[in-house]
This record gives sequence, structure tokens and C-alpha cells, in this order.
Amino acid sequence: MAKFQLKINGKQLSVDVDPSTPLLWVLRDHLHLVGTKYGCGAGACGACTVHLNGNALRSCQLPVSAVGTQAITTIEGIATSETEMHPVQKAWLELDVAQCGYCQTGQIMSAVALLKRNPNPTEAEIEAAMTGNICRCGTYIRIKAAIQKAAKSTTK
Amino acid sequence: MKSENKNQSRRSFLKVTSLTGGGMMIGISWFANLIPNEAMAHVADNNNWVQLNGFIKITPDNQVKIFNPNPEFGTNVMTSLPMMVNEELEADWSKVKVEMGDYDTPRFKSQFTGGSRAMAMAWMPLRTAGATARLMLMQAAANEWGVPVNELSVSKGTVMHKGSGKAATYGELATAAAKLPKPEKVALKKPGEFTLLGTPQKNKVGKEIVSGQSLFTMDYQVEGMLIAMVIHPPAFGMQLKSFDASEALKMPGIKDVFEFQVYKDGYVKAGFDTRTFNRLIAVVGNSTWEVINARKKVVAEWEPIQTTKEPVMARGGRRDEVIPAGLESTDEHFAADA
Ligand code: FES
Ligand code: FES
Repeated sequence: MAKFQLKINGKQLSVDVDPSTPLLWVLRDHLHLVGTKYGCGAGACGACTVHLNGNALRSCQLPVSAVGTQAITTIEGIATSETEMHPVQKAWLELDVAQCGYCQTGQIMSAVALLKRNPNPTEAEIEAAMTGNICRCGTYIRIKAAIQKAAKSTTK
Repeated sequence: MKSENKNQSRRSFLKVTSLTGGGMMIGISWFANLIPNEAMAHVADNNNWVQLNGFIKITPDNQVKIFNPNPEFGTNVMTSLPMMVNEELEADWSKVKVEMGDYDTPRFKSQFTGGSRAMAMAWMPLRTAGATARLMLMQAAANEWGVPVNELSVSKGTVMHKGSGKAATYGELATAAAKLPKPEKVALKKPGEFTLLGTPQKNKVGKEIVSGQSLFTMDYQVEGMLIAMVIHPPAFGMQLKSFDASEALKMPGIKDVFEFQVYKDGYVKAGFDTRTFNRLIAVVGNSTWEVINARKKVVAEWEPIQTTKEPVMARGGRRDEVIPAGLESTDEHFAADA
């Protein structure tokens, strides 16, 4: 066991866990931030996607000891404000993207990171960036459309 | 089944629930003990809910909650089944809140999603639940105003009496309505009278989903909860011979490793029950990562099953089924099972 100070969604949080514990389980088991989902634990599905310094990352693959002082953002910290959702979340609702919803927090985290580094992605760029996020319900068509819609709403 | 026996140790709790053959769900009241976190906020509210029946709760300040009885596998039953209830209930759909029902079969009867049957099986009971509640709310208004119930109409969660101009919200009527006897028979709308069913509606829990507040089974956490994982045989047609947990038990955070039986002795299997995975190993510990690691340290020995005969409840009733020995993936097994 070891103590770690983590910066998550703008807050300083501390946990006492085995250093090899993946960030995913620190978030879910120890900090009760259950919006980040477990799908495979093997870096293959994207359900566990969070941001590390703004970049999308599979939290099931990152030991907590490797986080250091880098800023972590989870789905719980993505909204623009207490009362206003992120443009990507809004686009998701407008196009009614979700079915069961299990994969969607990971999808949204990947999409937000994509639009941050590339505010106006082509279809091919969207596909390339989202390819690691699997949706068993098959909502891919609406995911792509929602990213395009969010891109338009923020770039105009 | 309910297992709320407070005196049970955690270990026996796990055992008891794992013995309820055929089911994977645990019938305890989670909501009483949930760890409050951001995702829980919308379910762990302290409102004064008045329950009209298993599917409907209303607060005096006119919030209406409809429970979806079935697991959501992505076919949007979280939206479509509550729509059935509300078609007859006639609350304001734009304001209705939808929540996943507990696993509580006495309350919900059918809680099965699959085989394209969720909608068909819910069709009569859910509309009836909505209509029954509406009638009770109307009856409460009729009693209050001293008018016959057939002079009343409802729209968007308000009961109205044309003659006197009186109106009351469902919230105002709920407490009185809940005390009335449940009507034995209610008339249901004809399809031509539907106003909600048959119209496209967005996912009712979309907001929860995109903000990470939607709760899936794995997301329910209670104070002091332990994590358990199960070790299955490597192939169908194999069973547990023996196991050595001595290394696993030395791992940090591990509480117990034990064998358990999925089906009670004498349990008659039905449609979806697996046939050969009966004795399995559970690894129990403080946190998921600790259990994942300890699970790898359990040394289990598996052996092919022997030919057995067992009763099953299948379509067409109870019959004896012979389960041939050997791996289910082999040709001989297929041939013997044909
Ligand atoms: S859980 Fe991390 S990629 Fe699947
Ligand atoms: S919405 Fe169900 S897995 Fe993607």
C-alpha cells in the first residue's frame, strides 16, 4: 500500500492503494467515481477512457503510480459548468446516441479529446480516433454524427 | 427471493445467494445502504414518495416516477416500458422520471429481457398498472369533490371536472389515492386512442447516461462491500476436481476463497440454466484489483464430466435429459446430444 495524491476533476484526492492498481479501479472502487466503466481490463474496448492532461487514455492500463501530478478528468468532470453540459454531451442528447449507455461515457471522453486537438475532424479522422471505443449496441452511426454536430457547434 | 437476514455473516450471505439456482441477481434492498456518491445522487433522494403500485410513485409536489422492471440491454426498455405505463397513467411524459426497478419478482412479475419478448410480456400488465393508478387518482378526486368519477377527465397529470371547473394534480391526489382499494377491473385504451405509444421518443435516461450517472449492476456500491469473482472451468463439459487456494489466501486484501454450488441439490433447471457449471470457486476480497490478482494464484484442477441424467423444465414440461460425458466442444458430444 502507498499513499497517492491525485488531481481529479480539479480536486485533490488521496488514496491508499497498491501502486500497481490501475487508475480505473482507483476511480471506481476507492473514489466511487463509477461513471468510468470497466469493459475488458485489457485496453481493448475503451469503456474506461479518461483524460490525462487532456488526452484520452485507457484507465485500465495505467497504474496509479504512473499518474503523478498530471491532471485527470473523468466523465463526472466534463460538463462546462454545474448547469451546462459539454457541447459533446449536448450533441449526444440531441441525436439520441445512447442505447444501453454502458460504452457511452468512454465514447464521450474519446470524442471530447479528439475535438480538443482537432476541432474540425474529417470523417476519416473521427473513425481513426474512435476506433478503440467499442459499442455492443452498435450506435456508431450516431456517434459519428454527434461528433460532427458538436464540431460544428463549437467551430462555426 | 429476499435475503435480508441481518444476522448472516458476509460469507454465509454470499453462499445463500449463490444457492438460489438459476438466478444471478441478489434480492436485497441495495438502496438502504448505498454509498452516497455523485452517481447515486439521483436515486438516493429523500422525497416523500407515495407508492400507487409497484410501477408508480408520486410525490405530493407532483413528481412522477415510473419503474422499468426489465434489465436494459440496449433495446431501450428504460424508455419503451415506462411509455406503456404512462400511456394509461397520463402523467406529463416530459416530466416523468424513469428508474430501473430492483430485482423484485413478486412486485414486477416478469423481469425478463430477451427473445423479443420484453414488449409483448409487458403489454397488458404495464398498461394495466398505469390505468389502475389513474383510476385511483380520479377516484380520489371524485371523493374529494363529491362528483361521479365518470364526469372527470385527465390530461398531463391533472384531474379535471368540467362541470365545476375543479382541477387537481396527481401529486395533490396521490396520498388519498394510495389509501383506496385497488380497482379489480380497468378499461384500457384502444390502439387508436394512444397518444404516446407509437410516437418516437428519446432515451428517457439520456442525461444520466452522458453524465456518467446511469447506474449499471457493477456501479452499485454499499458500505463495507467486498468484491467477489468467480473462477469457471476452461470449457463446457468440465467440472471442478480440486483446488489449492493457499497462495491466493496470502495475497493482500483477500478474505476468502471457497467452492460453492450454483444450483441447490434437487433444483430443476430451466431454459437458460447452464448445465455443467455447477461447482465453482469464489475469490472474495476488499477491492477489485486485489481480487483480480489473487484469482490468478488459485490453482484449480478440472475434469471432464461424467454422463448424467437430470430433469429439466423445458418447453413442453418436465423431462429427463441425458448430458453426455466429455467436452461440449467435441464431435462425440454433439453426436450424443443430438
Ligand atoms: S476496460 Fe479499459 S479498454 Fe476495456
Ligand atoms: S450503447 Fe450499449 S454498448 Fe454502446
